[in-house]
Formats: sequence, C-alpha cells, structure tokens
Amino acid sequence: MTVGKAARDDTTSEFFDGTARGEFLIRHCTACGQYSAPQADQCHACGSTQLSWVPASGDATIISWTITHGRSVPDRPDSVTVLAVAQLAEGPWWWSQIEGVQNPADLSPGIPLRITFERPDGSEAIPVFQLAAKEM
Amino acid sequence: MSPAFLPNRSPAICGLGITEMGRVYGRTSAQFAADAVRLAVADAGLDLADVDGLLTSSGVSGGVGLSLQRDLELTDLRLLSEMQAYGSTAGGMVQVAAMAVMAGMADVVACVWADAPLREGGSAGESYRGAGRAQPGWRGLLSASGVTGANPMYALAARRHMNTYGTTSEQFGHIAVAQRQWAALNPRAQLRDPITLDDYFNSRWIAEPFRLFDCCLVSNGGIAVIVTSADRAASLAQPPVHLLGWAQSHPGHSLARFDDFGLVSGAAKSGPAALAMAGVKLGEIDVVELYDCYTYTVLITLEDYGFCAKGEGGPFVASGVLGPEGKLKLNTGGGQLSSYYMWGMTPLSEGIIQARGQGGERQAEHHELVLVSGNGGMLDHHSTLVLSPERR
Repeated sequence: MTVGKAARDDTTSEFFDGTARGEFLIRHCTACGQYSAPQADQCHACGSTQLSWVPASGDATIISWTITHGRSVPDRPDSVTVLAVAQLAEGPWWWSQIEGVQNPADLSPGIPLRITFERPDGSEAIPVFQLAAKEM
Repeated sequence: MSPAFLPNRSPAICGLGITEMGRVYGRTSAQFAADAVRLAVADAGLDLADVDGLLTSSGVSGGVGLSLQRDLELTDLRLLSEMQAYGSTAGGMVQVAAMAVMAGMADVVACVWADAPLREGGSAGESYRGAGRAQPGWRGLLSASGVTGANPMYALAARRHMNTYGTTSEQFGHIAVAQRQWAALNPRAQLRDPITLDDYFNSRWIAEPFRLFDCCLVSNGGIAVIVTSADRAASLAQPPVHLLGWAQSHPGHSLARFDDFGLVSGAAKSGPAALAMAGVKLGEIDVVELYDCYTYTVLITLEDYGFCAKGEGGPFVASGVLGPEGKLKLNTGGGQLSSYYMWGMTPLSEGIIQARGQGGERQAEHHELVLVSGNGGMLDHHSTLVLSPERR
C-alpha cells in the first residue's frame, strides 16, 4: 500500500463518510439526471446546483496511465506506482493508483477497473483502483 | 461612447532584464524580481522613476506581489497588480501591459516574474514536490492517492497522446536532443553539454512515458520585461520589439466523458487568434518559442498552432526540422528543458532576444516575426504573443 493520508474538510465530509462505508459517492443532478464528479458544486451538464450524493457503481475504464518512479508520496520510501485517470461508468473521471498491477506493459485504454478503498491509520479511507480482471 | 484612444499608441517591448539563473542561493524571489526590474529598466535606457505600471507574478515559492512597489520605491503607479495563470502568466502580463499602454492608462509598464524554489543541498525534484504536500480536502485526497505535482498529470496527458496518435518516446527524444543543441549556443543555459538519443533513452524514468530529459529543469532567478508605446520605444536604448498580436485560451476541461485532455490544448484557439490580430499567417513566422515544461508540451503546441496536422506532431519533430540546422527555428535558447526554467518568461525572453537580433551564435537569420507561447496548469491556460522588430 502506497497511499498517503487524507483529512476531511467541509467540502469532503460527505464523500469521506461514503468511503468509510465502502462507497464512492458522486453527484447526481436532480434537475437533469446527469452525474458529475464528487468535487463538483454544479452539474457539468446543466449548471444546476441541486446535486445529491449517490453511490457510483465502482466500475471504471482506463483513459490513461503513468508509472511514477521515485518518492511520489511524501515521507515514504522510493517506489514505483501505477497511476491512472479513469472514466467512471457514470461519466466523470477520477485519478488514483491502480493497485496490484503485475504487468504494466499490458495496460491500455479501456481496460476495466474497480474502485476499492485503502484505510491508512489516522486517515480517511482513500479510493484506489484495482484491475477488474485479476490476471493482468 | 467608445474610449478616445490616443493615436500611435501601439505597444512595444523596450526592456529585458534577466538575473543570474539556476542554483543561485541567498536571495528571495522578491529580491530576484527587484533585480530583474532594475536590469530591465537599465536595459531600456530608462530610470526606475519612469515606471508607472507594475505587474508581478511568481512561481511555487511565491512572494512577488504588490510589496515590490515599495522594494523598488516606485511612486504614483497608475497600474499595479499581481497576476497568476501559471505558465501563461508572462504572456498575459505583457498583454495587460500592452492594453494599458494603448489606452493611455500607463506609459512604462514593468512585467516581472521570479522564483526561488531551489535550496542549497536540495534536489530539483524536492523543490517542486512541496507543491503536492498533503492537505485536507480534495487536493489532499489527490495527493494521498499518489497524484502529486505536475509530472504525473502531464505524463497521463502524454500517454493519452501516444495511445491516440501513435506518438513515440523517440519522437519526444528528438525535441530534447534538439533543444540541447540550441542550449550549447546559449551562454545563459544551465545545461549545455550535448546529448544523443541514446542519452535520452538512458536517462532515468520520472513518470512514464517521461524520462529525466523530457522534463524541464528548475531554476532560481527572475526576468522582467518593460512595455511602452512604440513611439517612446523608438527613442530608447534597445531595438523596439513590437507587439503585433496576442491572445489567450483557457479551454476549461470538463474532465468527464469525451474530454480532449492530452489531445488538444488552449494553443488551438489562442494561436490562430493571435495570428489574426497580427494579420500574419503561420507560414510567415520565422522564430518559434514554445513553452516546454515537457517535451510533450512542445509537440502538442506545434500541432495546435498548426505547424503540422493534429496527431502528426511526432513524425513532424522527428523529420529533421528541429535544431540549429533545421528549418524550424524552435526554442532557440534551449528552452526550459535546457536553458532556464522561468515559466512563461523563458520563451518570452528568448523571443525578445531573437526579435532584437541579439542571439549571438544562436541568432536566427530571419527574425521578422516571432511567435511566443505560454502554457499553464494541466494544459488549462494558454497565451500567445506575436513579436516583431518591425512596426506594421
């Protein structure tokens, strides 16, 4: 596990209540029905601020990835970390690690991911990606 | 009723001040900024008392703000502001200064950017990692997830370009090698030893697909530019550099389905708009100074400006057009990959040097039209300037 620690503030408290339950919450527009990213304050489709929190399916696909070399997380030893930007099944993008990648050369756009959670001591639960197919 | 613009108030750059660059310690960013303004004013043949406008900005170390007026003992300024649009700021400051001069709001506007992130004994990487230190809230979550600083974000963008268009590491390498060739001819460049494509491939990974030689260096220092009217510039110490056209573009990525993150940047709209204002065509441009936080940034900007078709940036940069012997006079000082990392001031300063014809060994033979870009954020902010030694 190479995630760092995250703390809540007023804008993230509901989201982290969700990650504590094992849910990845996103914003659902009560006006037009579209989904926006968790950090959105207004609907990316219609601009409405009438947004509710709903659990995402947890399914995502790779948009792009990088393998970082070195100390990408402060105060941790040098490491190699696979990071991805992925499109959630609901449409918004999310950035995090992909854990457990054995063969990075096999990564490509569109590969299915699942959101899971890391729970470092003294931190909110951090959403990370895993490969949906375990064999890679 | 429209404002009564004065005639003959077209804007020009009359002064350029560049401090010592690189691992220069013991001075704050504010001190570098003050030094840069003093140098630029002297370069123009002006006095500090002539300055009646001041625009400031700084990098990750911050600290260059409104108090610079007091540091320089400037009185009765008619324009003063701190600006920030990351790597596009330098171009943006010159644009605001130009419009203030055109409107008669100010006559001599100093635009300054400085930064001092490097600490003695510390690595370049450490100096910028601080930007991603864990914080509460969404930024803290991104950082805890491992997405810290610019390297992984630009790497994700570059990888997407590679996957979509077939761009290769070797093509990125051509940019790194060519800019080092230019840097060898630039006495101010921090990295002047030639490199080969093999050296490029042997440089260590930073964030794949980026190796060390894909990434800009880090510098302490400051650069200032003085903007005044073309008429006034004509009687000053340096050859005037006229501002023929300019534009900005801030695409506003939605970061949701169908977003073109990594594939198209703000350059796609900013470039043509600046050229249209100048009344010139891309093919007439003699010298190109592009913002190069990474090799990839140069490649996508070349595509977006239209030097080649979208997606063909890779084959284009590998076709022999780059370097001092190539036909495209691009990043002639070595850019931020090899000369000095002053954000948007790096391409701007080299653009001014080339437009003036003061490039020494690296001077482009033809320099009537110089195109300068600035890029900031995650390809979020773009500025373009068209410079010329000739008034049109």
